[in-house]
Order: sequence, then C-alpha cells, then structure tokens
Amino acid sequence: MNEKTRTLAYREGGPIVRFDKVGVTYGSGTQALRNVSFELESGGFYFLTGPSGAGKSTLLKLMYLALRPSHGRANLFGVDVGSAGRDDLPMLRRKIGVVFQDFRLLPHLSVFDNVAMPFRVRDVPLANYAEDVDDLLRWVGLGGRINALPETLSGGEQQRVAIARAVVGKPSLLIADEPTGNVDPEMGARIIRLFIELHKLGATVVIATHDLDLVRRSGAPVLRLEAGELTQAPGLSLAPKANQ
Amino acid sequence: MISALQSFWRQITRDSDRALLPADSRQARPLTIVVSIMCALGCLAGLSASAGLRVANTWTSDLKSAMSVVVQSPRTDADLTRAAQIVRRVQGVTRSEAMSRERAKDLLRNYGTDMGSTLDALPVPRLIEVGVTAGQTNVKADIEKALKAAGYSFVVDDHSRFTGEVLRTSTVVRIVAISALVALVIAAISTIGFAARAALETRREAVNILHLVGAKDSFVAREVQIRFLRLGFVAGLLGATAAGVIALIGSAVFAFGASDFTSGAPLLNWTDLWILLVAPLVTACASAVAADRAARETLRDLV
Repeated sequence: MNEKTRTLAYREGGPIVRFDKVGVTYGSGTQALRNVSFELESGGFYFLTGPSGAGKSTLLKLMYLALRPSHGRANLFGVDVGSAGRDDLPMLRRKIGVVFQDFRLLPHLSVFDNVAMPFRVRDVPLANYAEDVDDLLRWVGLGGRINALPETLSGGEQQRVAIARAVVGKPSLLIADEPTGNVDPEMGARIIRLFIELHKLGATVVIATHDLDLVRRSGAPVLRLEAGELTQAPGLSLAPKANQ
Repeated sequence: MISALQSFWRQITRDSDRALLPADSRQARPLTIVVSIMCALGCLAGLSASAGLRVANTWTSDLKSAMSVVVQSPRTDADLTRAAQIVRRVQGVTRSEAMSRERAKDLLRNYGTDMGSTLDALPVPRLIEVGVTAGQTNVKADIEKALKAAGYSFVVDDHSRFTGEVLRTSTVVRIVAISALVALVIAAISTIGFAARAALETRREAVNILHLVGAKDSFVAREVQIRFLRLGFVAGLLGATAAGVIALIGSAVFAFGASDFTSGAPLLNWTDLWILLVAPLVTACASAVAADRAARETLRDLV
C-alpha cells in the first residue's frame, strides 16, 4: 500500500491508534502485555501511567513501531501494524514523533543535525528545512547552540533537542516517555506547556509518566497499566477533553 | 530516478562531519590496508594472466613461423643447397636456408660442453632453416611431398611439440591467475561484508534512531554503502598503484635479462594499463555491493 492509499484509508478525525486485545511476548517467554484494547482519538492528549515493569515502555514501543504485537491487532493511522509490509513502516514512523526518556541523540552530530534528522532520512534538501530547524531551535531556547555537540549540553538542553527532533516533522502522533523524569520541576512544567502547545496545533499527544500530580492537574484521559494489563481507560474510546 | 541520483550525489559529496552514521577510523584504516593488499594481488594476478598470454603468443608465433628440416641423405653441401631451393618453392615458405656445417657445430657447442676435436668426428646434422607465413596450413605436408619427390630422406620439425607445451603452460598460468583473482575478489567482498556488519553492530543505537525517525532500510544501507564505496575506491587506488610499481620493477628485471629465447616480448604493455585503471572502480563497486548486502541483512533484525 503506498502512502497516498494509506492516507485515504485513514479516516480523518477517527481513532489514530486502535489496539484490540494486543499482547506482546518476548523471546524469553516474558509476557509484557496482555489483552490490551483501547483507542486514541486524533487530536487527543493522553497520559500513560503505571508502576515500573507494568509494560509502559512496551506499549510505547508498539505505538512508535519499534515492536510488532505478538497477539491481537494494533492499528495506527488505519494500518494494521502486524501485517504491514516492511517498506510501509517507515512511512508510518514519519507521522510519529518520539521523545525518548534517555533522549537518544546522536553524539557525533550537532544540535542542528540531530534536529534535522527526520528531514535528512527523507532526503529533503538542506535549503528546504534549514529555516524551520533554526526557528524551532530558537523557540526551544537553543538558538545559540545549533553547532554544539550533545555532550556539551546540559540534561535540560538535551531534552529540548530531543523534543525539537520529535516535533520538527510536524507529526500527527507525539509520544513522550517520561519527558519530565530527568529535569527539574520548573523545566518539567515548561516541557509540559510545550506539549500542550503542540497539542493545540493538532497533534495527538501521549505522555508516559510516573508524575501522578501532573496527571491529576491536567485532567487528561489516562491509560493505566499494571502487570501488562490495562486497568484504567475511560471506555474504549478515550476522547480528549474539550478544554485541551 | 534523477532525484535518486541527486540524493546519491549529495550523500557522496557531503561534508563527512554530517554523516548520520559516524565513521570509525580505527576500523577504516586497517580495512583499507587489507583491501589495498587484496587489490594489489588481484591486479598482479590480472597482469600475470595478461603477460603470460602475451609472452606465450609471441613465443608460439615465433615457433609457428619457423620450421627445421633435418636432411638425412644425401648430405653433401650441394644436396643441402638444392633441398633448400626445393623447399623455398613450396607455397607459404618465406625463407629457406641451408645451415653450414660450422653453424650446426656451433649449435652443438651451445650446449656448453667443450667437445674439442670429438665434434669433428660426429655426424653433424644437416639442417635447413625454413621461415613460413603465419597461419598458412599444409606447409609441412607440402615440404615433405616436394622433398620426397626429389628423393631425399629427411625429417621436418614444425615445433608443434614446443608450441603445444608453451600453450599448455600458458593456459595453466592463466587459469591459476584467474582463479587467484576470483579468490581475491571473493575474499575482499567477504571481508568488506564482515566489516560492514561489524560497523552496523557498533552503531546499532544510531541505526535504531534512524529507523525510528522514519529512515528506510535502503537509506541506512546507502549510508553504509557510500562509506564503503569511498573506502573501496581509495583502497583500490592504493592497491593498483602498488601493483603498477611492482609490475614495472618486474618488467624491468625481465627486460634486463631478456634473451633470444624470450623474443624480447615485453612483460608489461600499455594495454595492461586498463587493469590498473579499472581496479579502483571494480574495488569500489564490489565494496559498495558487499556493504549494501551486509547492511540489508543486518537491518532485517529490526522491526
């Protein structure tokens, strides 16, 4: 299926993510997820919570296509991930922005090139994205560090580079794994404000966090995982709140 | 197609500081040396095959354009001269000269033994040196027919035994050289494939990130491929240069010791230059193909 066909198959305004009895069993036999079913509406803002080892990372990996389900059906943008061809997955990944807990920046590349990575893997000429990247880096407060290497940045600055990389391609789905875990509370609040801004621009946002205060304050729908099972999800269809 | 070529060109010519997969000079340097050596050996094998063929052709051509007639009877100088004249009239014969007794004795002396007066007592062979047009058939049979009709007892030696030996030896040399070349190409491809896999393993994290931001397998493979294309070209250039220098020295030594037996055939020829010119391109292409295949195999492990 080519990108155009996929886009047509994806119903605008419908669920951007739909999991139906999804399970993941690793090679060692460990069952990381069991019978997980939920839907995320396009344009929603969601939190994913649960204790360590509950399966949050596995669920996120399924959503950002680092894993395929062992059981059940995982559907992203109208495409069944389990049966999608290998050549189809990169096109889906280009619609997803990911902020990893450990940032996962490439240490040999400058801040600019790390952020520009989504364009470079698409063979977009430099002239077509240089201004966007510069603007975005200024917006996250790193306009003066575009040529710096990641190792010379503080944790908070690296976090902002990772966020800039995740959002530069204007993804339809933005996934963040503990984005406030490695930064001070003030920086954490700024990062959440940034996600809210991106959400207002139309992105569906999923944030995995241990910070229950943050979840309570936001009032956003919550997916809660415990021992690989979804224990909290407001119905199968988790519509975003109107005020978000 | 054009945009793919433009993209490929951008990648090949871009600043290496911006390479998405970091280079590893600790791996690149020894690998370049190994591939250079393989390329040099491959070039030498190719040059050997080419030189062997050329020398064999020169020798066989010389041998095929000459015959010797040993006149057994009658053996007087006059008979020999008359036999030479008969042979000269045969179609395809360009030269026919009776060999004097003294020259025949000299040939025997050339074997290195001081035979002194013993040589005078020996029945020195009476020979006619015959030159023939290359490619002319049936000359031997026609000479035999003409001399037999004139009542001579003789043996015509057309050197076919020697040319056969030379051609067989040349064929063996070529088979060995081509086998060595093929073995070296396979070894070089395997080495580069192994190195490409190792390079991807050590950069697995970077490869994972590229994948997760939407890089296709072909994009990541191309990143690896271009690096090995450059490495192969540089290694090929070094190897071809080294082989050229070695071949020049070998050719000079060969020419310095040349004798009538080697017919002064040059070991190296300008036409051999194509082997040295093509080697860097072939090495670069083989490196790129090996790296691409290895990269795609490694990437299959990822979702």
